[in-house]
Amino acid sequence: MTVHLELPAIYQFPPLFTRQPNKSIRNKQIETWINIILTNCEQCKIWTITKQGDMKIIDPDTQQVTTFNIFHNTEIDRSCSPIFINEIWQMMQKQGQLLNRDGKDLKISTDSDELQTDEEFYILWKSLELWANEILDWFERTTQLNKVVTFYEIVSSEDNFNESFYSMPEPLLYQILKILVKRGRATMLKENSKYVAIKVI
Amino acid sequence: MSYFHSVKTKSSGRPLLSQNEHDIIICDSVGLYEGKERIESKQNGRIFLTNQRIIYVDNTSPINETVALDLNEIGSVEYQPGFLKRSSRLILFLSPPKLNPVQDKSSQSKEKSPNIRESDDDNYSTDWVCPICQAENKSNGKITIESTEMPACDNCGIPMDFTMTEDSIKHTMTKIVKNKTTHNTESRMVPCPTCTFLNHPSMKICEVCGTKLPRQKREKSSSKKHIVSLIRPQYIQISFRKDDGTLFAQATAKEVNDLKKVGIFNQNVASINGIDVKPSEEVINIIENSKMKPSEKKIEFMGINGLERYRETQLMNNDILFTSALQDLNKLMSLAESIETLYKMKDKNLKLNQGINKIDLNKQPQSNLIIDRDKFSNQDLFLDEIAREIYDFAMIEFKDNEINNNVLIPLVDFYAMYNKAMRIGTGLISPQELKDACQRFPKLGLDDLKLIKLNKRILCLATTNSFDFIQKEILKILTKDGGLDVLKITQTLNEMANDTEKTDNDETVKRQNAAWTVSIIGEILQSCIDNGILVIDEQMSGVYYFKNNF
Repeated sequence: MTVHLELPAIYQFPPLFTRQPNKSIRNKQIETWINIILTNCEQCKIWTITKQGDMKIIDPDTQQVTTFNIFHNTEIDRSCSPIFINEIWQMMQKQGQLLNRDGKDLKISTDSDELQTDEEFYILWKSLELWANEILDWFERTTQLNKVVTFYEIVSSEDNFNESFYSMPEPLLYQILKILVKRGRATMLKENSKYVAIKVI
Repeated sequence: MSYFHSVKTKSSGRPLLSQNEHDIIICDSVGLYEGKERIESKQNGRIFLTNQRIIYVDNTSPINETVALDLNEIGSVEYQPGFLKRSSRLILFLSPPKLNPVQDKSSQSKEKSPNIRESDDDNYSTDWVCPICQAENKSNGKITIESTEMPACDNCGIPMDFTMTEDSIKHTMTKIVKNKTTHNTESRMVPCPTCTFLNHPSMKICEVCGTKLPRQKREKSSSKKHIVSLIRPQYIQISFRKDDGTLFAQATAKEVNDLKKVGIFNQNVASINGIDVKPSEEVINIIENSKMKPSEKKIEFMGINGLERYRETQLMNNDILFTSALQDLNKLMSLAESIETLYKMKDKNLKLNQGINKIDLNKQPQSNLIIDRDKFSNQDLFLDEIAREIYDFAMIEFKDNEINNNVLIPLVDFYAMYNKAMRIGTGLISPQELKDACQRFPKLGLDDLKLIKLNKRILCLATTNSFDFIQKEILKILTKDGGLDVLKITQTLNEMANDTEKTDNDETVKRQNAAWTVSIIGEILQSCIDNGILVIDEQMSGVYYFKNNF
């Protein structure tokens, strides 16, 4: 099982996994965590993360899927407490780096029992606005304006393999495109009561 | 200033006492005067009365300006209460210097001369023959025509008629004065009322027949009389600025008087170094009996016979005295032996842990000032003195105990230590008093120790930079290898302390008494975390500390 993650040296620092009692230090610690998560997700094109920190990493060669929990360092045998993980999530959401699947605000309770395995978040290593600008830019570059383009085409077309938003989950794309709609630059088309395509003017 | 002796003081500004010395009373804010002159450098200090000295400790420079005056140099003491702006004073008159012997003699001879003139008449005796019965008479004194009272004839009892006896009068002047001693002995010879033998004046019983002789009044020698020198003795004044000092004055007067009365060292002492000086009851009985017997026999046996008996009993007495003396000597020897064995044992111990050797030598038994609550007129003074004692105690106790003389001890622990070590028998102090006393350190100029509050909850007694020092040490350890728990950090710290000690003293014996307690280190770590210097790694097995790398 090979994980191609480039983790910084601080990841091997045991106190990283303990919620620090000093508030200012804790804030720095959380920042460090967010930094680790974001850089890793960007590198490996990881869009989702479970509430417990599980990430699905797809090996680009073998297409093998491995699950990796960022909050558990097997090497030094350290893991974060759920309370601390929640704190990290809250901070990420505050900074617009985390999105709930349905686009609603996170309801993070401090009660660890409510952590459910299936709950997943979208990781935004770029903010929604930035993504929206990038997609708009793509529309303009590829002369797709005034054409109806399906979500699938945007994120899964082989032509877009080198785009940063390639392999982006469609629900996330929907959230980004909603911004364009709000700006009045696009309209979305429905099929079976579900948005599947967009036309950018 | 020759009567002032310099005194060693401790860094806390308390005098070092010599052996067998103990303090009696302490008075604050006093000034010294030599005669009527102020001694400028000694105007603000504390004064200690001990059983041997009066010690002045300057408040501003306790090391240079501290002086002591031996109590036996003080002739008399006078107390002057304060008047208006003048503060009350205690005047110590120093004993007058020894008199000039030449002066002494001349004054003596002057005294003598009138005596001789007076006794001129007595030295004459007159021999005359009674014109009536022709009996030869001898009468004292010079008889001239002017003499008003004529002596009567011993034989017929008719008073002498000068004109009729003029021819027979022979004046003989018996010069007796030449040799004073012979005069005394001859004239004072005591005739025995029974056998008329002239006994030596110092005899109590007739040498021949043993009859008790009439008592003689011994002439008091006038030569021993001291002439009071007209020069006023030197004196020193102690001026009490704060209180009226009556207590101190009374105590000094008492102490000076006591010292004069005692005269001989160790008199009236029940025991010296634990050996009973008072003879046991048996011995007393023997001595008393032997004393009683001769006095009875004195009357029973008179004369040379009696003297012999008397001598015998005296010899017996001497025997008893000698035996008791020998017994005492034996006791002393056995004590000395036990002391020797004790000393040897101590020597062995010392050899075992030579590391402590040096400290022990420094801690030679010294009489300590006993700070008694009753000696202080107010709480303030008492706390000041307690503060000094605490300072001393802490400095001695922790001198070699911590790394580079850094002390950090919770006040609670220190309270127990101090009360146990110093206050038993003299009245324990309350925690509040200890705290108050510790807060006085800066006021008293004792800058090495201070009271700090760790983590806003634990009061600690610490040397000024100890906290920073330990923080640095811990940080050093944790930078070298992070992830240690409290116990490991404490161990490492103590090992470091021992290592430095080792290199310092070049000794192979590892010292065990350099020890930081885990609780203290824990508190310091806590404060380091609060400062953001350290971070923790909390595990099931415990909390591990790391240097902050975030």
